[in-house]
Amino acid sequence: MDAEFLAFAEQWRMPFAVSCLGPNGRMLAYPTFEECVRCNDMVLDLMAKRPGLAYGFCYVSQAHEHKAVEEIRRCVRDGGMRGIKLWVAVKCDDERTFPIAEEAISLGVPILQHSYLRVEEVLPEESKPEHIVSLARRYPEMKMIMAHMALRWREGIDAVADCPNVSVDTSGCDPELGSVEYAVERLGVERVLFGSDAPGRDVLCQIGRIMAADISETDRAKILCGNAEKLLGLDGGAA
Amino acid sequence: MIIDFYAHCGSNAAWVLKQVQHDVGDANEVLRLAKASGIDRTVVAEMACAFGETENAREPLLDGLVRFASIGPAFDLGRLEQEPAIKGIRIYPTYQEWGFDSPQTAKLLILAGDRGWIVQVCLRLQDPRVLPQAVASGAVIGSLDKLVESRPSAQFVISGANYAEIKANPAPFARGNVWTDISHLQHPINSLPKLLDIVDSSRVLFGSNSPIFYPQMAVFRVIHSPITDEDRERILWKNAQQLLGGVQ
Repeated sequence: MDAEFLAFAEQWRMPFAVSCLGPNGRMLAYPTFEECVRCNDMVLDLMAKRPGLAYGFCYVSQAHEHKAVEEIRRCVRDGGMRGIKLWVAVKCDDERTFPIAEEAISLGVPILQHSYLRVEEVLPEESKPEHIVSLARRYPEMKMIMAHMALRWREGIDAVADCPNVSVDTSGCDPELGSVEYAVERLGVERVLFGSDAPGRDVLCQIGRIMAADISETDRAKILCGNAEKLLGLDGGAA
Repeated sequence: MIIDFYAHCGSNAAWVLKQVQHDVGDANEVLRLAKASGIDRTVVAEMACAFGETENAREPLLDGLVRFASIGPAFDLGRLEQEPAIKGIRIYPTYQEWGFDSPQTAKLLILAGDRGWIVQVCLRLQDPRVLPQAVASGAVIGSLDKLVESRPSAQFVISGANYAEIKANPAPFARGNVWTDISHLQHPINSLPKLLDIVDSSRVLFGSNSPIFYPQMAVFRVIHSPITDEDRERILWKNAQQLLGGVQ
């Protein structure tokens, strides 16, 4: 785990959800199953060393099919992780995601799905909001988070607006004026989560975006903290 | 005191940018955002010029705004000479290709030198994955070094660079006639103190990219960044005030 980010989180008393997408800063878009296990072991180790601060999300690839489900059971059911992370190896509406979605429902944890709407496509299996909508509608009882508000936030937010089981996080995209307000207006504040994308992005800029948004202090507190506590079961309730 | 060196205006901005609010760019709105963020002076220019528009508004600016003129590579030198009350010019060489070694650019730099105009090289308005560039920022920075070296009396501001680009192309940022701003310094964690390891704090300017970005975000990150108070003051206003010739 990035030492600078850990120091920041401790100084700011900022609990965080974390997944490891590869060792030593290398992010593995198409990991082997063994690489996923090693990544998840690092997160489990961090959780043990930083209880109350680090809350793990289990990184799996749908390409590993039933082994991915076994890994989720090891990390979430047995290891105390709070969610599942899917990245860019397979589009999330692929049928290989279905057993993972069903396991997420069974364990009561959310799936955090990376999503980018780029002008130029560079990752053929990268999920777009439409893929998230497809999966979310198939499993309405499943909780999903569309990461990065899909980069082009207005289009991303519009796409998932009618899926009440999909939240968005504010990480991984620039702090564009109006983005937070638009998410709150279209989705309701309960479906908007603060995300930093640290250590790749500067956490201060990402917090600054929420602090700058023209929203009520109650809504700001929900985005920065309350919604995540509720979604991850950190508020004493079930995840 | 805070001076914002990289903000934009222009009522025709909405068609240029993706996903921004329709009223973005209105000078009154830019000023309102600045004041609400604690920003005292804001350097603005018409951002639509980055995409081929060459007309700059000429009505008097509101108190609190400092005017630069945006120009494209096909600018009219005679018309530019008549620009009223500008402190500098902005060019957008990632969105419009510029020949930095062309006779036209040489004439522009002579005029800028005669008038005491700052030359602001604007690399980014939005994430290139949202608003593509014709020329990558890194390539522009690389080609700028020869230009700024050949014009030591001219004052250049390179705006919108990110940390990785500055780290990969440090040469122009080490020159005494080049400043940069923090508007697109969004990566990685602790990016501002990391920038100060490469660029002397006397040549780093506060820039918000307002009204595309939240200006208050930029203030927040400077206030809370782990840097010295002396560096913070330089970045927030002292460097800009000196560069603008003591604008109050």
